[in-house]
Amino acid sequence: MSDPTIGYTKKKRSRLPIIIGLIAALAIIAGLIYAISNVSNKSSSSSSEITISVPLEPTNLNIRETGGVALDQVLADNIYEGLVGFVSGTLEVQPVLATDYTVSDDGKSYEFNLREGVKFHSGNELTSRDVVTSLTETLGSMATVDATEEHTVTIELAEANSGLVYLLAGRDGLILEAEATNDLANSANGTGPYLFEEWKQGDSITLIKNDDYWGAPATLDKAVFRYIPDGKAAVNASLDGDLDVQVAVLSTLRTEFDRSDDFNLISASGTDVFTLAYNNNKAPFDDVRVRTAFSQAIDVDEIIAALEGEGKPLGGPITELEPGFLDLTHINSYNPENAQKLLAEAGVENLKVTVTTPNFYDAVVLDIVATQLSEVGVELTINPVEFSTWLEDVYTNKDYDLSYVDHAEAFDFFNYANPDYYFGFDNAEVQKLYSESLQSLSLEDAANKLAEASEVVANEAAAKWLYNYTPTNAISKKVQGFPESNTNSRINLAGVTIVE
Amino acid sequence: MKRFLITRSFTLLIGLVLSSLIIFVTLRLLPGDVAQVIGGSQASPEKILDIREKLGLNFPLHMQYLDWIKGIATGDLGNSILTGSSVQAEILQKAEVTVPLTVYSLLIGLVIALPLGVFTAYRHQTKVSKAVSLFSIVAAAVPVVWAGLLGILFFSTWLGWLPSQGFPREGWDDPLAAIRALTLPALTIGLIEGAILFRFVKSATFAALDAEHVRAAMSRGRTRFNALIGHGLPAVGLSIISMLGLQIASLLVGAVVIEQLFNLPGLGRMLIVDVGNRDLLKVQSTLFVLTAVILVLGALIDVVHRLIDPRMRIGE
Amino acid sequence: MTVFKAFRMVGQTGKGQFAYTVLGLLILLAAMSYVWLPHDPNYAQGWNAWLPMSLEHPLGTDGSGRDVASRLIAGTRITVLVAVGTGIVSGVIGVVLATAQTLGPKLLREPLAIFIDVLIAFPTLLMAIMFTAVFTGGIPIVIIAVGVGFGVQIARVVRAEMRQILGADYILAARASGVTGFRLLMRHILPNISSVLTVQISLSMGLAILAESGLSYLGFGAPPGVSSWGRMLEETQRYISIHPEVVFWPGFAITLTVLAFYLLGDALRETLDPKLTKKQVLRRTSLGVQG
Repeated sequence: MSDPTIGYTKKKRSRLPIIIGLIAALAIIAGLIYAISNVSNKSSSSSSEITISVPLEPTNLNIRETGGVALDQVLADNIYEGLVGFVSGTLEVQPVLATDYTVSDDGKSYEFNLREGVKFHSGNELTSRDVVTSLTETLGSMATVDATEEHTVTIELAEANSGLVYLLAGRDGLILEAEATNDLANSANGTGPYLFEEWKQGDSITLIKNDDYWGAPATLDKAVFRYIPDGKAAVNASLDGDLDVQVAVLSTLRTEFDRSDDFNLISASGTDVFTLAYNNNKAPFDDVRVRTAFSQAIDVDEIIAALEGEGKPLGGPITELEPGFLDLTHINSYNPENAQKLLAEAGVENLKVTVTTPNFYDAVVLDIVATQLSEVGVELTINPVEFSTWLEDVYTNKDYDLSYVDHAEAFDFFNYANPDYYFGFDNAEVQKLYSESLQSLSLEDAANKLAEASEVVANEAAAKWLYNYTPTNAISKKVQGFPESNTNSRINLAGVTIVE
Repeated sequence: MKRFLITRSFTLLIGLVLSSLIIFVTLRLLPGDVAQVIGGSQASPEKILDIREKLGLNFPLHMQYLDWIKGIATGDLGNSILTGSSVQAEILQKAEVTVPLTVYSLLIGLVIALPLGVFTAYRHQTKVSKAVSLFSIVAAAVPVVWAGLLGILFFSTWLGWLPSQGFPREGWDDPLAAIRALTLPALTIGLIEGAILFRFVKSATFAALDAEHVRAAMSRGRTRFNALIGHGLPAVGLSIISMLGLQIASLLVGAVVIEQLFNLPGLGRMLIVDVGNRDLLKVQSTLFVLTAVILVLGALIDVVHRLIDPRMRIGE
Repeated sequence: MTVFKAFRMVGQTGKGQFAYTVLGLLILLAAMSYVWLPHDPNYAQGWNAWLPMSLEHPLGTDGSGRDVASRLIAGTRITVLVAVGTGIVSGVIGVVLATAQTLGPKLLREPLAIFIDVLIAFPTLLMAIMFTAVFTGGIPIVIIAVGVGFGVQIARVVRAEMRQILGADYILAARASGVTGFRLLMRHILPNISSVLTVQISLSMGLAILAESGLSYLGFGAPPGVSSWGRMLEETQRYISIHPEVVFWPGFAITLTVLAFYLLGDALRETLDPKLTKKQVLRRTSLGVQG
């Protein structure tokens, strides 16, 4: 093997051509980049089109079978409607497809009068048959649903249930067309002010205006929900000018919006409770002293500080928006000395436990929890798993010590009254109070019973409610009327407008 | 040649069957249940059983495998368990992002690597050449996430020239916007890819300069430059072609990280999401398509090599 | 030339000196991290998030209020583990597969060749994702997945080398005199492929570190509570515009270390066998540039 230059010693050729070639190539690249960058940033779209980014995409669109709030967030109110619904951005119930309803004195019988002239997106008219079919499916053995007249529907409950109107305002109350033949997993046919246009998986869902709507006409021609799971990419999309609204801006990235004058940052309230669940059935968490010790070892204020204030401390499972809320933050508040004492009493020093959590949450919270627990002598291993694994291991098989997950659903207190739920929390008093709450005839009584029950749950340290998430939404200054609460589980586009 | 084609097709077929088996078996070991994913965290056990039954997840494994293979043989990749939509359609839709991204990055890589590689081999003792070589090895050592982040910081945040995320919803109906969206990701991969290709081109050119027929041309009085262009480069081209096949294939898959970073709805991101959702049928069909593309490309390149490289025909 | 002598000679080249300095520092820091660290790398203090550089925190703190310098130093352990682990796994797999294919039973050779081709076509990253999903992740799984991925590629290179050697006169002579199997491998073949193997393994080690960072970015790498550079990069990447200095360090450390392994491989190759230049190409794309 010899050096390739040997065998040739003359050096007459100038290297000019190569250098010129190089420079030309570089110039072409630079020119291309420049040319591309000068293409106008965005084609001026019609003024009443809105683009909203949401972090979590549903796995499919079948609202009867697919769980999770990602579906309600987009499809409820805008496409599907129920007999009753929530006033946009609140948990206040109002009639929607029903004009009014009456409740019998024993609280067991409801009569709804249906609105006339309501049409499904398929063009067919809404009849009491659709309502009966839908509600029979979702309410199951809880109730018998009958169409007494063409536009009247009665619901006979097996047991009084004061929570029924909330249930009907939620997903279970949404009315689907009985005769519909559309593919529920990939399309949606409701009665709402927007029509389903397209779902590009991994990208976006597009809704367009329903010109045939029975109520106040939709204020937008088109609404695009873009799914951007990565918080940083979502912020970039806002700053690139691709978005009109960004739901749930990562708190620690809020300062990025300092670079732009186009957005208002608005903190929304919501029913998301980030819950550190104890496996109440499994040692050592079957011991109330251990649970209490864990609850007292955690300083939620420090966590909320690291989240740059994006959360409210919570002492129990019920949030301010829901009926039955009580400020319970004084129960099991931060007290590491007492926590250590309790652990010693329970005889579980040098405890090693694992927290199982879906892998899409920000790691900061559990980093801090782990450090705080280590201060009272507990070694915490963090085990982030895919959501499907979390569902199987924690939710179904209840094979876990601690679990960290966002309980986003509203009115989900019943999970603490159900010993078969993955919390494994079995307390006779809570169950009694909860069923009394369901039986009570007024919503106020019901709420009071719930509050009482939630206090017991808090005192029993059934779980540690780390914080009530109050997501920041970045809303373009062009957008008006965007809901300011509960946007993590429902985005009602009614009344949202774009002004230039 | 005929015999070669027959044996090569045979090994290709075995390779395809083998890879389908590996994919199928490995995926069945995954924990997690798609029925549970559909039902969500509020579903009752009865409902989950019901969903499993509806999805046909209760069939024995070998039946599921045979069903799947039969489908592939007849050109049907099956339907997503979650949405019921056709996997073929999904793959084609996502490929609209991933394939152009791959080609774009490869073009950028080649534009950088070809001239620089030939030049530095031709003048390998100069300072410029050494600097370029050093730069290339540094560029090949940079983690792609980091490179992408620096690109975003520079071209988007500071200069505001290029979008830092996303792909236009109109797709290729708005070609300029689509190209704009792919430019920064392609530049990120292209620079790293260019650094790798550069080293390859350089050593191939070295070898060409040293090859006997090139030296013979020089001894016949051709200048070194002429000899390289006229006699050396065809050989360089040949070895680059043989490398490009695998390059394209692995870039197709390797875009996972870049797609995630730049929020591009491509094949890689679809795969990650589907693995998370345990949409096994879709994952296994997508994986199979990707490996099949790589295996077929490999076989094609072997054939092309046979056809254009005279040395390979010796002995036939 | 023996491999050991080559390592000594490499120390006299500029590339070698750079590589030895960086890798020496890496090992030194990893050893030191077991004895002393400025702070507990996992000590998270919500009140101390994003502190700027100071005497107390030489490189500041991250979003959980952990000391960046300590995490960077503690991260060397994983880097060393991943590099050495992948080096061993891929080397062993490479040699075993190549040997089985050249010296093993004839019936086995052709199927093995196809098997290797399929595995090479099977993207390393996807294999790693499937593995980590099946076995719930973590560094050992990363090492095995990446090790297998590189192992089959090393097998292909080593196989070519072995076939060449098997045709050499002295091997034929040895075989004729009755040396077979294991003895033939240990005495005559392994010493002759050691240079190719060393260069390949050294490149694999660098690539493994890149792979770890890519997998960590996708959430399949080191678990929380373990300091690793890939994980640090993943945890801080979204703050690139707000706290670029914190994102800079892990990326810089990874680049420097990978570069050191590349240059070591380069220098070794040049010293061991100048003719190898043609065959040895950075195989980073075999990983699909996803590191």
